[in-house]
Amino acid sequence: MTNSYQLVQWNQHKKIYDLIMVTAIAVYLVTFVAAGLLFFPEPESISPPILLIRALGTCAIIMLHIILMIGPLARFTPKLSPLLYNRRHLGVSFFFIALLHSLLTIAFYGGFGIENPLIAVLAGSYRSGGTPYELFGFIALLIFAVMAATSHDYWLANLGAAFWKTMHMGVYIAYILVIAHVVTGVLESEKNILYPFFITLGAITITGLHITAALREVRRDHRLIATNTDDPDQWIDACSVHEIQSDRAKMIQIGSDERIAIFRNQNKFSAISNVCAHQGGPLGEGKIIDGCVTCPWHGYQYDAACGQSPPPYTEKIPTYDIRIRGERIHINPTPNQAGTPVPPACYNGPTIPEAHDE
Amino acid sequence: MHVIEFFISALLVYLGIGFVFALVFIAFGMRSVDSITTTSSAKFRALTLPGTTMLWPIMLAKWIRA
Repeated sequence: MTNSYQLVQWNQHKKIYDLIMVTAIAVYLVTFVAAGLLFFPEPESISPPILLIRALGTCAIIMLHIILMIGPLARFTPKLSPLLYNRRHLGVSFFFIALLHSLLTIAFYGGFGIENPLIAVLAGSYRSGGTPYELFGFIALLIFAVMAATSHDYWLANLGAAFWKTMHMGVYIAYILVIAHVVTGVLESEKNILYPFFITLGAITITGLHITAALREVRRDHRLIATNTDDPDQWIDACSVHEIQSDRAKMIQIGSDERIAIFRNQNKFSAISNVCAHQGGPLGEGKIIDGCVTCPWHGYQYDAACGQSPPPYTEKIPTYDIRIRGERIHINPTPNQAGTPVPPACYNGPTIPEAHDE
Repeated sequence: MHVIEFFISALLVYLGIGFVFALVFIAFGMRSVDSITTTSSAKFRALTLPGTTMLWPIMLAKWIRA
């Protein structure tokens, strides 16, 4: 959260996550190179630099697929939200792996001539009449470079959330370029059937997950639409107190695209905007940690009773008036100004049995 | 072939201008664009160098408006 910028926003969870990530990358690279040396002895041996270039390239592609899968997978189950929360470090690490792959390629294939190594490599296939697959990879790397360089809250604050998010959607263009880079280049010379198999499987998985997640969102939007009460003050009947797990929320839809998250803390209920002030993350998919609603995307926190981040942070989101009639929760769909305190609605009936995830 | 050489040359010129701008911006302009950076460390400022180099037209426009 923003009252000062830190070099890297580490906490205990992120340090563990990063340690696992770095270890996994190191194990993959060592295993790939070792296996290459072991299984391709003389005279079919592949030189260690080429093996390392391939190891870095395949590692980067695997990381890119994981990054692209985290978003839709986290929509299927909140258990995967921690991956979403830590995705930024994975993204920046992926860029450095892809950069190393590129630098080694340029140095190895273009570094021994009299021409500029970058131009020598990028123009290599084009000169010999082939598809300039190196250029596809290079343009993708440029897109990833912009994304990695702006993966910090400083950029989010200064470019604006809408522009920043749109810019980072460039990952899908870069992904297509990476697939083109692999299919038109690497697969033309590589005869191992495993490469086309895995790249096709990856592309189908990414596409399928995104389509499935989008359809699920549409279906859920229909289920979340709240109904009006007979109340002249326009209160809407949101749900029953029994439908919300403790420290969790239920989201309801009002209007075409506005969502409200109703959080339960013990027997108290509060309603806030579902949209995090940071990157528009779905607060209703987060949970209450240390008394604060915690966004599942990057851990931004808010007091559900006033929509404000705990001091010294200054983020604010709109709150909604809430009341309980019998066992039904009613919401006034007119949002209060961001940061307006609203007393939580208390349910004093029998103990609420725990609801279950959808 | 000229297309690729032109593309690389144009990119290098763009990034060269951006790098010089980024050094000046981080030293003199950053605080007026984002007051939170007043208390930021030198390491954090260095971290913004690549992004400012790549997005220098946007940051220049923000600096002029600040």
